[in-house]
Amino acid sequence: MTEREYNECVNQYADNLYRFIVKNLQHEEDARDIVQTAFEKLWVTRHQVITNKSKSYLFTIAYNQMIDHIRKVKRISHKESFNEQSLGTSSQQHIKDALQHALNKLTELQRSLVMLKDYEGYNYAEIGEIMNLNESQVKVYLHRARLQLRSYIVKTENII
Amino acid sequence: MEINRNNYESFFLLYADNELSDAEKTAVAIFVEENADLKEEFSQILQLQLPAAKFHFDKSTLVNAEDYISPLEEKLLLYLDNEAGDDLNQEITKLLGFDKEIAASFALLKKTKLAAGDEYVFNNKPVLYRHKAAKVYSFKYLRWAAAAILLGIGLFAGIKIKNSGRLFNKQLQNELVQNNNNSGSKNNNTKPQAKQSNTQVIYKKENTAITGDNNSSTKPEPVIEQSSFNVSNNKISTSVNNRVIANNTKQGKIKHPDFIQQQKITPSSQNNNEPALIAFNKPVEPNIQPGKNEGTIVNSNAAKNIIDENITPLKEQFAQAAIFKEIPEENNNDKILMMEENEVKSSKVGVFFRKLKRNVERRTNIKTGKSFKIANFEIAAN
Repeated sequence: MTEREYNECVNQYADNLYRFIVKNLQHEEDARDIVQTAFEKLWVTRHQVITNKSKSYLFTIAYNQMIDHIRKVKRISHKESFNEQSLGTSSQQHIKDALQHALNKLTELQRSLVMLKDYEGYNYAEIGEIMNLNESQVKVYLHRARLQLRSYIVKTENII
Repeated sequence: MEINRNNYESFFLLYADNELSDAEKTAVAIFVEENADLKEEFSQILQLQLPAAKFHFDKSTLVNAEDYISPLEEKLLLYLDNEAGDDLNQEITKLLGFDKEIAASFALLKKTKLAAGDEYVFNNKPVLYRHKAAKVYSFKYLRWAAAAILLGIGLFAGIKIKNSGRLFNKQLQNELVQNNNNSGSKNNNTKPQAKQSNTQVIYKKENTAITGDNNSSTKPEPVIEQSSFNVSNNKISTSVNNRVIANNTKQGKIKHPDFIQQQKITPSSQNNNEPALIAFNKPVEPNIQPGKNEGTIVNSNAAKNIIDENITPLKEQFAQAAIFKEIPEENNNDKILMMEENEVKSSKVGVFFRKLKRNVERRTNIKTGKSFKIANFEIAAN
């Protein structure tokens, strides 16, 4: 990977990586640190990394960093995304907020799976590579996460 | 081992457990047919086998109700994640087409899919960008720049020296004119008869009769016979070996050996292409016969004698000045030789080069003998 390709990676993947981490950690500063560390490692090992694998490489590093961070700090401050303003908006916005809230209720593993699938569009095998799981595990965990999200949305809709 | 009435029980049990080969099973069947009294016992042993019964166990009771995924839900989830194959995709598409309950369930599942939003932007991207340090050529560049500057200074100094030399010549010329005027006024006959001065360049041919010195020369050479420059009433005439090789040969002005050039010189109008030696003598009528392709120097020895006898210090000074003046700049190598060493050292150029050398030595920390290094080139400063 050349210097130019690396800088292209920064342009293309920095936002995605940041979103992935910040939605998991709910802590912007820590997320920034992890993103920076991930890109630092990519730069150091740029000669061994194939350019078209750089995205999954970045997410793998960031995910492992995030797990290490969670284990080390034991700090996950769930941001309450529900507020009075969001409750007063349209049903579409309401579902979005409810989903965000439901996502925060998931475990880090399930949340990461859902985000890698929906945001980044990885298939089960690629998610398994990133998260060090086999394909069946990814499928089962992801399906359970979806059903949990569904049940949460249904409950919220019923309440409203 | 063959079946007989002593071991038939073990054979019957093995038959019931389906542990006998086909031949043994046939042997057991034949034995039972031959011994009808044992037929009932054989049927009793066969009845001891438990009949195969089908049992259905409801696995859904074992898993958590929340985590349980029905086969239909699994198919819908695979379809949602674009992980279903072509067959499954077609199946689900058909199901969603005619089954409203399944379509509603799928719509609910679809709501769980996160929409990619751009609300999270990593603003600190400049920190992540990397740029390799560019190669630094500044040192070499500076060296070349220093060399160029020094060359420029050198050229400038050279031009200036050249100009100052010309100025010096002009000054000398002016002084000479003034002195001539002064001395002329003292001696009543004031006007220097420079206009009368003649320079005669004569090319000698081989085997030509030339009277005077060096008449044995064989090659055709331009010869300046004499120049006259009247300073005062005392007529001074001189010639150095009667001939001087002039620049004209180099510059191609004299193209033919037979060519004789006669030129008038005035002190105020100096011509660099003129012969470099001016002799002071009394007007001597050149004894030249141009038509005969040969020149004759008549009065050179006589002129010498006159100089030796009559030259005064003042006139000698004028003569020196005139000699110096008339030498072209590029041939004037004697100028520096005539200067004393101390004068050379204390000249502006000398001081400049000494300062330059000191400066370069200090900056580059190079201590050489009488030379200094610039951009890996050692320049002698002798």
